[in-house]
Amino acid sequence: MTGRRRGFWWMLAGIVIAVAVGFCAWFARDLFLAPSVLKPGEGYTDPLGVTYTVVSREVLDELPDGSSGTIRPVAGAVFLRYTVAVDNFVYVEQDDRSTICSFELLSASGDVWEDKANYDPMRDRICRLDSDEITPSQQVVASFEVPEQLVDQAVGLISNTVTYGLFPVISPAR
Amino acid sequence: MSFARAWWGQLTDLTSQTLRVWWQVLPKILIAWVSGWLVYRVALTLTAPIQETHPWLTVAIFSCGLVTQLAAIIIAIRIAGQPAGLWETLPARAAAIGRDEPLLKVVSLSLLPFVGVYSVFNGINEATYQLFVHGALESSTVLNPQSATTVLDPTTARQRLTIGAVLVASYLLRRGLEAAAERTGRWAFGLGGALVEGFFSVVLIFGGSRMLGDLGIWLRERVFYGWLLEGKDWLLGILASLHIAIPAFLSWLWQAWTLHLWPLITDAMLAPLLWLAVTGLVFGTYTLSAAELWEKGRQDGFAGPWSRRSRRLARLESRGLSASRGSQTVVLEFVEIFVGDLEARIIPFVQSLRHVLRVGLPFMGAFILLYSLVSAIQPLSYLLMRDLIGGNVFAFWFRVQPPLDLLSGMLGEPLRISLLAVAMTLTLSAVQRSDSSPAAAAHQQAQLAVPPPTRGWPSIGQLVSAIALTLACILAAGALTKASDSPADTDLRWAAPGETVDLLAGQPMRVTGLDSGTWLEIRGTASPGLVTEAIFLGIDVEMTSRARPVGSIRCELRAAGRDGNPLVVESPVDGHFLTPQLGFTERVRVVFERPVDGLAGSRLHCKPMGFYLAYEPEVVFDLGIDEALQTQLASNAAGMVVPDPQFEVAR
Repeated sequence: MTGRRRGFWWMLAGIVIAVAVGFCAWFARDLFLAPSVLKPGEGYTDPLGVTYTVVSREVLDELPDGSSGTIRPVAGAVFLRYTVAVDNFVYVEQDDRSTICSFELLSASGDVWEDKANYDPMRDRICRLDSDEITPSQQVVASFEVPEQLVDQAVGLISNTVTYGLFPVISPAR
Repeated sequence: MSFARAWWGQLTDLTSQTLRVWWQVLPKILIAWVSGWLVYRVALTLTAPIQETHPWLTVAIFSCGLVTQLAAIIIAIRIAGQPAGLWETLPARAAAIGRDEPLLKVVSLSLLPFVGVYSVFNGINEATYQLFVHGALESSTVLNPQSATTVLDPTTARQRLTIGAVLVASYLLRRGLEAAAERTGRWAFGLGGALVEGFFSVVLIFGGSRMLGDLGIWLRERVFYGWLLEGKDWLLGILASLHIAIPAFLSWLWQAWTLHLWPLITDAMLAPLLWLAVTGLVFGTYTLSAAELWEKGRQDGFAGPWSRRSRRLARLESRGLSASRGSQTVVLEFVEIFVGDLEARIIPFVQSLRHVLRVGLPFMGAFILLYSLVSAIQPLSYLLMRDLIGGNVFAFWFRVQPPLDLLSGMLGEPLRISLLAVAMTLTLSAVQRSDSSPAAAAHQQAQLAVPPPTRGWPSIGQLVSAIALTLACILAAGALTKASDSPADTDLRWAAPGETVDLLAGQPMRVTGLDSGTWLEIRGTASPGLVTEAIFLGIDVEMTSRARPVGSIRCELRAAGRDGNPLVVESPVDGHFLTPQLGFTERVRVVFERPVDGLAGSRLHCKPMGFYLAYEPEVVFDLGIDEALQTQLASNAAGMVVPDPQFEVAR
């Protein structure tokens, strides 16, 4: 191969490798994506037209335990209870991501707190699918136990069923 | 020339020529290989959301990707053959035919042996796992019986029937497309034929390997198999009557063969030879094809199916005037179905393998060693990059694996492909010289370092040194293959007694205490079922989440078993998981049941809970249990309390 022809093949190889690297970067996008943060009180409408809006955030020292008693957070922690309004809810067979309205609480450091079922068990934590007719508008709650000194670091809710970064952070109006 | 010198000469010749070819065609090989890799990866990604809803479409897309990747390797080998001097090595007529053979035809004919060889070396398991993982991450249920991976893994009669029907349909479609390509000369039909061939090969090898496994199980359940076992026992009984140690020796021999020798042969010897044989096929089916055998068979009265087919065709030719065109076509097509594929695909492959083995032990030893060395570049560079990054959770590795795979492949594959092209060229040149006139052979010998296959009997000394050196090459190649075969699947972080170690950054863990007892009181309730004649060992583990890169952590005990081999001990009690939320510390007591003399040297292993294979972090706590502490713990006959997990805000 002459130098010129060799240069041509190297250039072509460079292009193919660049495309492959581009694919790798796209494939690993989850690792680089930071979710966009919506304005406080703003709702997010997903591709199916379902709108999620945080209507309230409460800081609580106790939550009902489902019978007649209450559960308390560990010393130095509080419960944060978010209520989310879900509008135009649709149930799509084969696509569970749009139909389970459950959330995690995102911290400023990018870590998350999980909603646990034993916090406030009597309230709906996922969208209701069991009625004869799917309720287009409903409310779900998500409760988190958070150390008091980290409460200010709680940014807002993200979906725990949609790929990280693709569901924006929603938070209540101030 | 002594054997060692011949071996060394061929090793240096193979190395220098491989490096020369590699440097000359590196950009072209990279274009081919990276393109194939890219199509395969894109195909895998495309299958992810449709694996449950469209399983056969998934298989079609997946096979297209896999076939494209293999076709890219075939093209790269053809590219490397040019500077390796392959066409100059072959007789002019064969070179012209081989060089002019359409690439699509070469790809189409090479695919089945390629997929077959690929499957021999665990390629199927790896590809199926990749497919499964891509689908599982997108799926709502991992074990949907309709998903693509289960379609390729038939377990019921109906599934097997479906696989059979798909195979027949794709075979007929392929023949139709090939016929259309021959009649019209349009490349699109040829491409379609090659893709359908790929689909056919993937389904045949994937589904077929499962069905072969099932056939083995079915055979073992037959009465006939029981007779065989009885026969074996009867024979062993007779041998034992001759000498009591014979059955044990035979058993040891069988174990050594199945556990050590056979894996060594397949990994170290079979892989390079089969790949070289496939390479021969890539360089044009004519040069190594059955056509050569066919002609020889006709001239020499060659025995076997060839002569039978020859006679059948001759009979057909003699009936030509009386037989209708339609009946001729039907009979010829019928014969073609059963013999044509064998002739076009398998026989050249066997021919190629025969040529490789004919060249002699020095060449084989040198090639096997070099092939293992070159093949180890890809996995070893992958492992090196993985170790540099450090253990992480599956979600991380799933996203990071493609660039690592790409980079390690770009480092290793061009060299492997160049070596295959060079080795095939040297093989063919040696075979040609052995078949040509003495003058021509002398002329070619002066140009090339590899001697023709030797004839006549070597001396005893030569034979011993040849066998010893070849065995050394095989053992070295086996060791290299084993070393590059993922030595550890977790990133171990060792913790001395009392030491705190991060599982991942921001997740420190430590063992805070040990306890023991002969019965358990779990969360304030004494359970009569949880009483032991051995001893319960309680280990208090504490973990803090300052960051929360990992969800649930699972711990298990590793101890020495009765036979001295390591033993994994599961906890008999629920609650041996740690799941501290961000900003909290969690303490749990994990409990294991052990013999009173089986505590010393025990270690606690804690790692993230995961459903899929990944290079994850794993903390290994040395519990510091020596003989004295073991005696102390074992003497505790009281009950042991297992409290609920305790949480507090991290300080």
